[in-house]
Amino acid sequence: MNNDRSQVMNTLARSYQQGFVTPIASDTLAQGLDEAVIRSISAKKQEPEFMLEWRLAAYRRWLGMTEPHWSSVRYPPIDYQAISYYSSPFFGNPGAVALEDVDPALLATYEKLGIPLDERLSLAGVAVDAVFDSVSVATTHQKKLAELGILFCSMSEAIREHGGLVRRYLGSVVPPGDNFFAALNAAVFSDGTFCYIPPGVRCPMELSTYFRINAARTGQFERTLIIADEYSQVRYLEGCSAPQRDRHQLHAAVVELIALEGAEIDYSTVQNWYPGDAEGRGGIYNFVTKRGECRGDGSRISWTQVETGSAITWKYPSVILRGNGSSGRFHSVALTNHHQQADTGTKMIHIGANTRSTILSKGISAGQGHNAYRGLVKVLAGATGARNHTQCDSLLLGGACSAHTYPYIEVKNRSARVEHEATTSRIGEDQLFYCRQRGLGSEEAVSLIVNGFCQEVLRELPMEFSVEARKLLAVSLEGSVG
Amino acid sequence: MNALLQVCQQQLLAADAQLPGHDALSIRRFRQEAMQRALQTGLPTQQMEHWKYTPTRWLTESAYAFHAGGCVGLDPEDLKALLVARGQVHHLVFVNGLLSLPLSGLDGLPAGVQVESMARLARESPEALEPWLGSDVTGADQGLAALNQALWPDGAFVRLASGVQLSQPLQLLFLTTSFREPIVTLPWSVVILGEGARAQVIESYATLGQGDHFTNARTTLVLGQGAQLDHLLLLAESDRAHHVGSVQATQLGASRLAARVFAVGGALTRHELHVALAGAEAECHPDGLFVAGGRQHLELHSWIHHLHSHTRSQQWFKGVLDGEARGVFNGVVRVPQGVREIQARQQTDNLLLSDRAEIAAKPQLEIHSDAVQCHHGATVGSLDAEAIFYLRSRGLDEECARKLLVQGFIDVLLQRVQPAVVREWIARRLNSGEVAS
Repeated sequence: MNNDRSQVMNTLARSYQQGFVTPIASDTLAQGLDEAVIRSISAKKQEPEFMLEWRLAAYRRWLGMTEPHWSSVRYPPIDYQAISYYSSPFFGNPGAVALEDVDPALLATYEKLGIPLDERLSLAGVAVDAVFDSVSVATTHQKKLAELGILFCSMSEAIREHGGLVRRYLGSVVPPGDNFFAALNAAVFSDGTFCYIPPGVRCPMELSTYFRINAARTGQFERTLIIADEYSQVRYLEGCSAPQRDRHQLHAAVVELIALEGAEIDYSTVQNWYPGDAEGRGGIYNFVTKRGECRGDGSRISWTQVETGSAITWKYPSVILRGNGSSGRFHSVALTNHHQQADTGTKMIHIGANTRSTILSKGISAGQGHNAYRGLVKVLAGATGARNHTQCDSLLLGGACSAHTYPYIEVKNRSARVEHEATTSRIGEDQLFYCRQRGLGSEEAVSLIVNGFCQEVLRELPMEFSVEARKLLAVSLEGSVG
Repeated sequence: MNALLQVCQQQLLAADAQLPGHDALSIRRFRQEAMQRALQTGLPTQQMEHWKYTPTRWLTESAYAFHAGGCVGLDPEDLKALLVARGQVHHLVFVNGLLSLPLSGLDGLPAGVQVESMARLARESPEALEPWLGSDVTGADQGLAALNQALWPDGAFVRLASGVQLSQPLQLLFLTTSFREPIVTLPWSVVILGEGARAQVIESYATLGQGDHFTNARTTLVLGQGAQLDHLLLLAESDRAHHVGSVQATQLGASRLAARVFAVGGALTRHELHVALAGAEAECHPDGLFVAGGRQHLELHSWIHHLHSHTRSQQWFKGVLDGEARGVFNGVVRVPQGVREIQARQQTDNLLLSDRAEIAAKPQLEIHSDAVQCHHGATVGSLDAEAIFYLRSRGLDEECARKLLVQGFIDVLLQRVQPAVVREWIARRLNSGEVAS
């Protein structure tokens, strides 16, 4: 028995392969948060005056706000003064560093994570913006994209180079005062990705950001802004990981998507932040605000997420369906094992006529994991002919885990059709028996069944991500059976 | 402090000696503790999660008064439509919160069935009430329920001994007459079924006249081993009335509860059902229907607590909304850790008939155990244009076709009501209120 247990523990210890630390000198601000910190972040990034004002306004609003506790996740109070709000592997102006001058240890980190930043080595179809702690390290394929008029760069660069666009769209979907964590992010966000697709352009490659938290006792606050102009198309991927540390770290990001008339945005996330150890020590608090707005008629925004990491996940990628005939999709797999907690779901706000939304959520709880789907489907009075279908299924593995479903449905238009269905159950004994009888071990059998359970969501992911997601699911479930 | 809370607190101080059970220490203490809870919790506000969709301004804006109670020369003819056919049910009639014996009829109750006034019981044998004082399956934010616990003046006490069957339904009618001053009534009823007992209890709320009043009602149901109860609740007060009520049921092993609620009346009507399934093989079947029109606001809430392994629940709630009405459904299924082999199903279907009607539905599952099978479904939509077309092509006019479809939507739940005399009475009452078209 003891032997078995230690084997399981070994597997678990092995299972978070991205848990290494890159020993690298960094320019890190002292812990704590006040206006001086914000001024210094803004100065380090050589931002124009309007950004500093914007940050300070957000900070002042944040001071008056209280941390929300309505979700089903539980955690000890966060000391916002014990976090360092800026950590950069570069000294001086990060914008001026060429890829050749970057510390090789840093590049090696990305090699190790499977994301080479050298364009010759990288996957032909993916352009990557690599964010390390608070700054963007490199953005690949920029030139090739620029030929089509696509702007793909770090947020800091966008603020310096494309101030007009940033000023027009930043905070227009998630205003600085939207919620506690969004306000904090607006005040201290350090970098992130900016992307603009000009009218009628179909982005020839998949755009991607890889977020890496390395330094201890820092928080990562990045901000992503994607604007798809009329009749353009873009597919965007987001990945993330962090070292194994025994203290919780805060990640409070904001993602804003804007789709103008006829534009299409697909946003996929494979979230693999460090989930903490089997006893619930350490791990990332992932408190993220993601929202897209279908501003123009006939536009489409699609969120696909696979959530396997983080000690606590608290995020609701949403779509505001403002344009007539616009559509939104949310496909999610959330897995919680050990002491992980997830409270995730989506909001679909139907404003325009004939808007459509689809929600497909799969939750898997194992160990002492806690998994909640929380979703809102709101059909306003003007949304004639709106249509929503929601399905959320939960799978429970083990007697100590929990799965909750909190769907909110608000309809103010009679021509709307809204359907919601949900199921919660464990893996059927008969299914397991069938697999075992065919010669599969119990872990393999569970993995097979879980993969089947998530199939509908996983097939929405781009191929590379889909393969990674399947592996992650298998790894995350190791040790949860038997 | 809120005016209503103040009025209630004064009432407890002023009328303490007249409230039933004053001489019994246990009841007196229970009332005082409940008042303390009400003062601590405060009245509900929309900031409270479970009152999110409930307008609560009327609680602070209206001035409700307590009425000395009693019956003012009511003619039994006035009650004819409000009672299921005379002679086929036993009935107790409460007027403005107090039992009116002359209007009630309990002839031919079988042996082993106790039906009487809570006020009388509290005065004459308070010890018979004591076990049920704190038996509520409390939910969150129950300030109003605590007010009822502190101030209930009367209600029905029904107790069936083991193995007894009540062959005729028992109807409890709570009637409020209209006054110039809006009044508040706080009935509390207790229904206890002994081992293997069977009964049908119909609880109905109505207003004589078109007055505004506030009913804050509470009903406690206790089902012993193997007992079977068909509890039917008809909420049909005046279109100016406000009603907040709860039914709290505790079920022991192998018992079976059918809890049906039909809500048609009230400017604001909010009903909560709390069921604790506390024994193996216990089963509950809550059904609910609200039909709202005009500017009505009707709400149905259900909380099913699967406290014991091998329990089942199956719920079906429907709503029909016309005019500028608002409907709310909030259903919670809870399975705590360590409880196994649960089956829970919950379905809510809602029909919006007008452009200004609104619905908010929140079907929740809170599951802490893996050995469960839980499902829920929710739909919102309007009448199917193709179905209307089909009926029109068969020669029905549009209005007729719509009525027929709405009737069909409602009938599914109505047809589950037995016996026919009760079903027909409910159908009449549904149609006499706001007619959905």
